[in-house]
Amino acid sequence: MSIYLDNNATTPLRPEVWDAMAAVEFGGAEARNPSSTHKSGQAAKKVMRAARERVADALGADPDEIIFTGGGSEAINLALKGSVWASGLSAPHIVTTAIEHHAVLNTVAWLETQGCSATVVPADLRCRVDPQAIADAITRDTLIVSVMLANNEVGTIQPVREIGAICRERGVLLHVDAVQGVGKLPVDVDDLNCDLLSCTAHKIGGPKGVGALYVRKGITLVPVIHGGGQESGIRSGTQNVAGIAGFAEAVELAEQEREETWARWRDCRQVLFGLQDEMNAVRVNSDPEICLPNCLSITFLYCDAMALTTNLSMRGIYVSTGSACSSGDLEPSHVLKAMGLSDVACHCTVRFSLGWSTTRDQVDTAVGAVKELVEMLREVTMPEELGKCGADCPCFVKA
Amino acid sequence: MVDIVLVVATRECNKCRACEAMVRRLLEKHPGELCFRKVRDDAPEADEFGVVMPPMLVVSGVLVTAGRVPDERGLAAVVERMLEGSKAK
Repeated sequence: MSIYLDNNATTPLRPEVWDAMAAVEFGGAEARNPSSTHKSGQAAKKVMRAARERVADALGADPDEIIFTGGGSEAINLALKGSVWASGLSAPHIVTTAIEHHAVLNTVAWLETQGCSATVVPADLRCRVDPQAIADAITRDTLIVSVMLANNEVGTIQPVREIGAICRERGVLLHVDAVQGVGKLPVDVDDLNCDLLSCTAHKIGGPKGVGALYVRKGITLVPVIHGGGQESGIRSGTQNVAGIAGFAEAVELAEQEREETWARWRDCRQVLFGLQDEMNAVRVNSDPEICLPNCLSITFLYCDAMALTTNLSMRGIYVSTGSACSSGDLEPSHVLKAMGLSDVACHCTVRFSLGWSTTRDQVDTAVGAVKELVEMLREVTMPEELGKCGADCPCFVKA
Repeated sequence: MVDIVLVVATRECNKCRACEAMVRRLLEKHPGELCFRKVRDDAPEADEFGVVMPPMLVVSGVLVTAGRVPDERGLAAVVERMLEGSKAK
């Protein structure tokens, strides 16, 4: 049996979610297309209404403020492009941060090619964005600020409430990418002072290809997808009814079990943290004081992370590198670089992310394998003697 | 006997070639003690290694590098240690 510790990438589907989806697809009500006027259409509409209420409950929102999408990236695109297009402004300004997911950064980059301007605010060594830096970046042309709730690589929870208060005071829209946050953190859209919030099902045991965008009442968006006018005309296309029911089930389960899940994750995280004390030249990049308990980014200096993760994979242990593989080259992670890690340190960094199915035994096994492999791989990849580098070494952080 | 497998890209790059040259030097140093195979990343055999980034060097079932050229002295040390282990058996 494999050990899956890459839950920030995606999570295995929960059996309860599968059952909820199967009940929609194969149940006696024969729920089909919610736009249809016959009984099976009405049944689908009923399923949609219930799911919308459950997702809205989890966000502290009104059901009418939930727009279902085909995933987190689509929700983010709709939030950013939709609000820019709806503004009617010829050259609106966008503020975002250097540690955002590519779904945000690349959408903003594309909007810049369409006449928008953007300011990308840096993060500190703990991957945290300073609300004052956001305030300083806002200009009189700023239309929207986009900030993530929790970082996908390091797990840092951002001070979104403070950023939201600034945006509210300055009359600027706030979009929160809560893809890694919903179901893991308590989320209340009023508490966060946000106008738009993106989330997805598959990070919490739900199905892939289903997400949602919270749109505060009174906010106008221009659709990205035109068609039959589903989802209040903001997102056309026949809804994925079974998937949406699964999303609602996953959110509700995550909310109900958060206390128990956090306790289990904290226990497992402590074992992973121990690697820092038990091995030389190991640094944990995730600060437990401000990070989600399910995520730990660890740099094993002098050990090639790609070789480490591939060896682990060959043993049935799945984790990810902090480096994204793109265009045939190993590009250092933009998040780790934004935190100040050197390229070398980025290439030695592994992300462990825990999920609903992770057990302590699995983490113990993974830690044992990591210790054994890192020691062996360092003999091949380390250019200097072990033990010379500590947390303050320039190898870890750029001067 | 120690097995060395080099997984190279379909279109070999300089890193693939440097890795192969490094392995060939090891073969010369340990005649008859190493079993070397070169595998293209699109070959069915490469699947078992979970190819992510060639060149990948697998020594006695352990992947020692992926996507880069290893430190030659370090690689030699690993191979020698594995040879000692195989002789002890």
